[in-house]
Parts: sequence; C-alpha cells; structure tokens
Amino acid sequence: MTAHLLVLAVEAYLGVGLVLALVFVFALIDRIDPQAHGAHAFRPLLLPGLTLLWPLVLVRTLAKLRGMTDPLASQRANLAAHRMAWLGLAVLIPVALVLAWSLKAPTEAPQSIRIGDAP
Amino acid sequence: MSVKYVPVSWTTSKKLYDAGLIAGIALYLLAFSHFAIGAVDDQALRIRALGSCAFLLLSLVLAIGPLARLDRRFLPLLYNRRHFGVITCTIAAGHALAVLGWYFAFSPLGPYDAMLVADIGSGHLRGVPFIPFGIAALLILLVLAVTSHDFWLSFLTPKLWKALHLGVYAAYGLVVLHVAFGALQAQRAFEIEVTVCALGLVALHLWTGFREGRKPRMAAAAPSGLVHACKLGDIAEGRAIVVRLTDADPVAIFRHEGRLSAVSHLCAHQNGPLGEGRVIDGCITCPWHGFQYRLEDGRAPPPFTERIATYRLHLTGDDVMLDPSPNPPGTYVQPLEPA
Ligand code: FES
Repeated sequence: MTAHLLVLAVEAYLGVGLVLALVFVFALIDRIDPQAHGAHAFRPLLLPGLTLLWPLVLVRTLAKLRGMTDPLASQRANLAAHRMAWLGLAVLIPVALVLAWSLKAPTEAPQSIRIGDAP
Repeated sequence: MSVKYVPVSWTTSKKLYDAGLIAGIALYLLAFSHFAIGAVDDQALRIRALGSCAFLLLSLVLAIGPLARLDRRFLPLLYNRRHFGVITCTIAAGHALAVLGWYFAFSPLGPYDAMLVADIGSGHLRGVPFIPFGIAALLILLVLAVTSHDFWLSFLTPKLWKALHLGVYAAYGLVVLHVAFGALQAQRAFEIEVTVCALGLVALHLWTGFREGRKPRMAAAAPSGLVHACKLGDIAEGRAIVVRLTDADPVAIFRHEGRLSAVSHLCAHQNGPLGEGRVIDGCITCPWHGFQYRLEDGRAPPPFTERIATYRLHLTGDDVMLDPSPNPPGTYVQPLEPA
C-alpha cells in the first residue's frame, strides 16, 4: 500500500513537472537566458531535467525574472564538501565491504560432506 | 563557451572520445557474456553485464579528476567527462530496466510497486533491502545526466550546479551498498571488481587530497594586507603559479610577454584549475575544456561573455606581492611590468 502511494506520488510529481517544463521551454526560457534566443534544437534536451527538478526550476526562474543577480560566490564550500565526501566514503566503503563479506553465505560444502550429513 | 546553445557542441576529439568509450563498453559487455561463470540464462546475464559495466564506468569516471591532478597526461580524459557520465547513467538505467522487465514485469502489484517491496536478498541477508540503494543511486545519476547541458550551468549558477553534481559521491556510496549487499553476495565474479575498484578509488582520492592539502597556504602580512606570492623569476613565461590563501579562493599569477597578471584560479565554467593552464593566443586557456580569458581583465574574448575575478599585484624588489581582495569579475587591471 505504501509502495503504491509512493509510486502514485512520483507520477503526480512528474506530471506537474512535465507541464511546467513545457511552459518553461516554450514561454520562459527566452526571457531568462540570452543564449537561448534563436536556439531551439537544444530545448527538448532540457525537458527531463526541468521535469525532474521543477521545484528548483521554479525558484531559480522567479529569481531570474525578478532580475536578481547571482552574487560572486566563493567556491571553497564546494571544495570542502568534496573533501568531506571522500573522507565519508573512505569510512563507508570499507565498512560496507567488510560487513558484506562477513554476512556472505558460506559457499556450498563439497558434495561428499553433504551426502554424509544427510539424514 | 558558446553564444547560442546547441544540443551538443561536437568537436573531432569529442567524437573520438565517445566512439572509443562506446567501443570499450561494447567489448566489455561481449567479453562479460563470453566469459561468464556459471550457467545463467540470457536475461540474467544481461542484467549482470550491464550492472558490472555501470559500476566500472562510475568508478572510472570518478577516477579521472584525481588522475588528471596527479599527471597532466590524463587531462584529455577530463575534457569530455560529462559525456562519460551520461553514458554511465544510460548503462545503469539499462541495468535497472532489465531487472524491472525480468523480475517484476508480471507482478500483480505492478512492476514499480513490486520492486519497492521485493525481498530478494540471499543467505544471511534475506530482508536486507539492497534494491532501494540502487534506485536512489540511479535517481541521483539521472539528475546529474539531465542537468549536464551548459544551460544548467548558467541557469543554476556554477556554485549550485557544482554542489548538485557533488551528489555523484553519494551515488557512488549507494552503488557500493547496492552491490555489496546484492550482487557480491551471490556472484564471485563481482568480488574482485567491487573490492579493487571501490578501495582503489578511495585510496586515489585520499592520496590526491593529501597532496593538495600539503601545499602551503599564504596569509596576508600586516599592516600592508599584501601576500608575498613568489619571486619574480619563479613564474615561467606563458605559465602561472598558484597562490593558495588561508581564507580566500586561490589566485593564479600569469606571466605573458614578461608582464604579470593575477586572476582567479577557478574557471567560470566548472571551476577548472586555470593556474594549471597556459597562455595561448594571448589568453589564459583553461586546461579542462579550453575556455579562454584575457589577462588584463579576466573577460572571455568576444563574443563570449564569461568573466573571472582579477587581482592587483605589486613588486617589491623581485618579490611579487598580491592584494588578496578580488576585484569584481571582469575588472581591468594594468598588467605589472617589471622594470
Ligand atoms: S572548467 Fe571547463 S573550461 Fe574551465
């Protein structure tokens, strides 16, 4: 039941996303990105991303339409996140592998032993 | 670096890159099917081959960055890394669709519902839900693939786009969990691939990070507020040195025709390391994808519009001193001419 509701929610989310994506590529993109003027062939490529990320697209579109400029952001936060990600993976990956190996079902016993063990 | 978007800005090297990659994948899938251990039916073989190939590709694509930092000869691999990523996602999606079509297609619940509630762990792991790890990883890879066009970089801003694409590391962690508690439990062939790839990749990233972290960072000296960047003779003609600051973005100081200019070390495209690039045709050229910037104002030559921050330099004897406060991107600064 929960799985079914989840699937329905995802379908609804994507449905709304697709409608907004079409509005975006037909009516809005020219107003927010000068590099899109006169460029049409690339627009279908945007549809999957616009559909999947429509809440983010909505926020960014409103910001662009209001003429908000993007502050010059420092990139150090991303570089630090990159370092943290690999430190995290350096712990997660060995732990996952050791756990997986220790839980692994023993390989099948040789035939002769299994015959002897049989009731 | 385009004035009008196109679906894909093909170049000969991109075509060669993609052709080589696709040929490599085809060979791998063929070899996997040919040398597969144990009698399995065609469909199960296809699922395993695609899964194994996707894992290998994801490991490789994540290895390109650190390899290029360790040795410049790997830079050509980085040039078209986005296509590599999209192809990886396509193979992973092929694996998921093959699973869906084989194991869940005829479930009375419907294939998607059935996949979410399935318990197909084996041995001690019966009940360990490894499939959701795979679904989550695939979703992340999909988001990255569908936002790989340059439009997204400009629409989301490079900072947000980069942050979003850091999700690839979460995807890799999830894929390792998916494989460790799934395929690795049942198939010997995966043991070596997963262990070597995953641990090798971690070691590679830690080693590169360790090397980067050991590079000295400079702080501004009081009361001038200037940073001693280097000696005049330290910078080779047409090249740069990179000044890493304690609490600001790194700066690249270039020498061109004997004159010095300082700009951000981070490319406006995808934060590539500009200071590791060269001056070509009078412009700083990014080693990653070739974006160019003028030395005196950090602007891409017309008709392109990208801009990076510039910095002011001073000369004290033969000591090059840097003012670490960035000028707004595109600000003209007269190149420093040593006497
Ligand atoms: S990061 Fe792509 S050209 Fe610099």
